[in-house]
Amino acid sequence: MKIEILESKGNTMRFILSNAPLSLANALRKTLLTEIPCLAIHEVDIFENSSVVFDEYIAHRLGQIPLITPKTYIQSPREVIFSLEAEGPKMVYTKDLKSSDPKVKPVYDNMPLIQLGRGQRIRLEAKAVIGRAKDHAKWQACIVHYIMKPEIKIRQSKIKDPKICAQACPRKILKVSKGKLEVTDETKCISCMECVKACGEDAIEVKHSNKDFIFTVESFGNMKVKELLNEAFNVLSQKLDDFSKELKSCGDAGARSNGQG
Amino acid sequence: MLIPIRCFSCGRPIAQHWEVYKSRIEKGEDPGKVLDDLGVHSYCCRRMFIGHRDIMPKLLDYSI
Repeated sequence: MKIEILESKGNTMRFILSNAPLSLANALRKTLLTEIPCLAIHEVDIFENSSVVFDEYIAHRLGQIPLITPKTYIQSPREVIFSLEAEGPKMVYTKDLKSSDPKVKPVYDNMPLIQLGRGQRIRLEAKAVIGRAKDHAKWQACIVHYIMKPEIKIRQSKIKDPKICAQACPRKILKVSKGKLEVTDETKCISCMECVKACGEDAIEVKHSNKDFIFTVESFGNMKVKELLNEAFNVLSQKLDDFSKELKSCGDAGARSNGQG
Repeated sequence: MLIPIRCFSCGRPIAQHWEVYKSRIEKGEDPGKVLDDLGVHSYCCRRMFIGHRDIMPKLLDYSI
């Protein structure tokens, strides 16, 4: 198993997971989506709210704010208290939330939270806790998808006109050099089969590898993509350890009851 | 009401783009191009902006 990074830009990363079973690729995707621990506001005490919206509306908006989650919080889960006090007329942004820990703050400063009219006041205290996205989507730290790596095979002798074939590709990954059809970047292929339609099935073949996967991971800003991947593998290996321990204890018990232990 | 914090379908945070988006379309720019510039590529997030009506300012005169 090998991971090769294709592209890493800001919050997004594309990489190839090669020589791995399909089940592992899917387990990694599901772990990244639902099992990464991160911070989100979970409880809100509203002391004063004379704005035009209900308390629940504000609490719901607060819960969805992505919060920067330092590694230490994942290792030993702790709570963070945010306080908010504002009087209108003004727009309240996420930057107005005062955090009890300077390391933990909203990822974006300029998210509109609530608009206050003249004389309207809001005063609240919110508690952020570590959670997982399988309980609520507000704890989701990233979005991830993978495709099986496309493999394009070209039989040069069977191709009548390479130019028509190259033009058929919507991703422009086929090119003609010295009268021969060549593939520039297989990883950008979307398996639309337009080239097969243009040149014929015996001339060009698009298949999928079932052990190489192209992943795209987009972090929501709570953590960097690399930290996310590390955490995902930690969670996954911990789960597998637990499973094999359980299985072993089951096996021992079963063997004993059969009188073979 | 106010722009939702996250996209309904995919869960990406979107509210951070709202003020920029609003000020730019008020100047007469094409919403599609503004969203391309802001890096809002998926169509689930794009409809959050295009289908949004900001009615909060009209409600401010009232109270609950």
